[in-house]
Amino acid sequence: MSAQDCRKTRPRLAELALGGGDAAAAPAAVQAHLAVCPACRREFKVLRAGVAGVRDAEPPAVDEALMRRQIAAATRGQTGEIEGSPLAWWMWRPVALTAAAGVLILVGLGLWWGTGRTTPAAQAGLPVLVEGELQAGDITMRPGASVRLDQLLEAPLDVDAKVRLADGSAFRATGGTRFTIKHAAGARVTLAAGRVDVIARKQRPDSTLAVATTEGEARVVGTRFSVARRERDGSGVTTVAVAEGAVQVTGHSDGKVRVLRRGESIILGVQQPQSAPVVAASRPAPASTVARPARIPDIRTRIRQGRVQEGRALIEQARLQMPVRALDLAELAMTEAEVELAEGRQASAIERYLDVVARYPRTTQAEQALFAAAQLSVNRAPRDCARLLDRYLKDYPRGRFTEDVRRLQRALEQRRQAPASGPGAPPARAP
Amino acid sequence: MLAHAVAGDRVAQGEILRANHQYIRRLLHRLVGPTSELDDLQQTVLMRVVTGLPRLREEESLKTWIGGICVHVARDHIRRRQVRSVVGSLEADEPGRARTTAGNPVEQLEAREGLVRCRRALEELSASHRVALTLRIMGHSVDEIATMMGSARSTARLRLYYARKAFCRAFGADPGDAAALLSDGVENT
Repeated sequence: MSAQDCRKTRPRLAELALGGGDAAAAPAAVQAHLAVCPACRREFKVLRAGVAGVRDAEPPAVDEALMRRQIAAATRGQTGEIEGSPLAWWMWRPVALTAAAGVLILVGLGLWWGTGRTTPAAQAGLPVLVEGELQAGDITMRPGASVRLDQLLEAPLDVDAKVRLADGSAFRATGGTRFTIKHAAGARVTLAAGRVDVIARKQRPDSTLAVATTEGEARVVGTRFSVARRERDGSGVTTVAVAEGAVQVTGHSDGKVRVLRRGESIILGVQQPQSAPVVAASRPAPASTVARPARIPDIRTRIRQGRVQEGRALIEQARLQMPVRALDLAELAMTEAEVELAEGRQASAIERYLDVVARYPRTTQAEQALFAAAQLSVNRAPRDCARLLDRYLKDYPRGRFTEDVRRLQRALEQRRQAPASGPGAPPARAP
Repeated sequence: MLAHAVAGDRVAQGEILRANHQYIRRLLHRLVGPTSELDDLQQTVLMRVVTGLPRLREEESLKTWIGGICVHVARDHIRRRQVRSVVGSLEADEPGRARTTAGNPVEQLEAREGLVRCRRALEELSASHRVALTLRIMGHSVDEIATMMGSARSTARLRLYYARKAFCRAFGADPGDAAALLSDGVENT
């Protein structure tokens, strides 16, 4: 086996993978090379998995309500077919010119009025992202995109997101806000953390816009209001402030229904709801009342001290409070792996580490996680370990753990050659 | 039901859309990859199906015809996204969506890596080549691809040939000589 053999074989691998991935169907020379070359075998495996992934990819599930709305909009929006004209084309020229001018004016008006208003999603009654960005899991939504229902949405830390609802109402979620939109009787925005400023259209009695948090619910009576939610000492605090019109607020702890008028605000989630005029309706809560977010070092301290459950709770808290930067999320995912490790679940820890590698590949944590996963696999699955070590050297040829990786590789090789010499893990520096 | 739908019966049209809803969604998803605009694309297809039903010829298969609409909508979307290349690359670069059900986490990682590399290689192709190759990967024959893309069989074959070549190049591999490719892959319908 030589590098030249690999160069000859590799071109056929992509072909084989595209053709169904059956290695037995490959020419004899390719099969012979695959039998002796682990690198090409791995490449083939990756290729085959990639092609299978494209072939079998499943879309995100769609709920019945959305499907009904889409179908209703499609059948309702049916337009008559334009049959072939019996008149010569030039007879239509003035009409065409007028129509073109009209289209230009409409396009201009559309741009002025804001993007996304006339998207098919808007016609189907879906909320539309008008400005900014939203994250739904790993998907980034941009202006004009329909906003997913019943899914946790996050506005990036430094970008506000403006969402227009089907009835024309709109709200702005400030950077870092996490929320879900549901459709029952009117839109219902469930706020997990952050702040939304709502500008509501006139509501129908049977279908009103509501913003809900764990502590309470604000239902539209008037037009403009803000709802903010933050964690304080482990429990949530929701502030509702009304800028115009009136809002009906229900506290979940006491079940009381109050109507707030312009200039009034209320804090829910503390022992007694406090009603007080606000200085500026757009400022929901004084900075002094904001709880300090859970920090990664605190979580690690808890884990080191054996207070794993506390560490886990802090991770959950941090997930609600922390910004959406990949670095922070990767670090948080690393602590989750450390919790698994502290509780003795090595397999889960490996899975968590590899999740960091896959989800945040460009972070420094990815390198650390890859090495950690390889280290944990040494005794459990030496073959997996070898693959991870190969990958490490390929991805980080001058990485922080290159020396350790080479040492592990040598140890694995020695163990392979002399399996009876002892099962102990080769020494390696912890990441 | 099809006859009623073609005649403009909205209930029948709704039934046809409902029966093909998941097929349209799956096909679009595989053709364009993960995108936040999937709902919009699907809505566009549904609308085109309803407005285009009167043009459906008797000898045409409804599913292939709907597939053709999906192909056109997906191709337009890919072209637009290639113009907005920054957005396209960001949406394509999401390894988290490539989670597989394989039990071994190392295999999961490799499967994700393969899917990400495969999608990146597909991103390198032109819209027509990408759609043709994706349909081929999904198991469609050259004839079906030609019908769905509204092209001649020979055009579909050529598209597949160049798409394979570009795909292999994107994986860092030369696909070999043209004769071997045509005999191994494209001809093998």
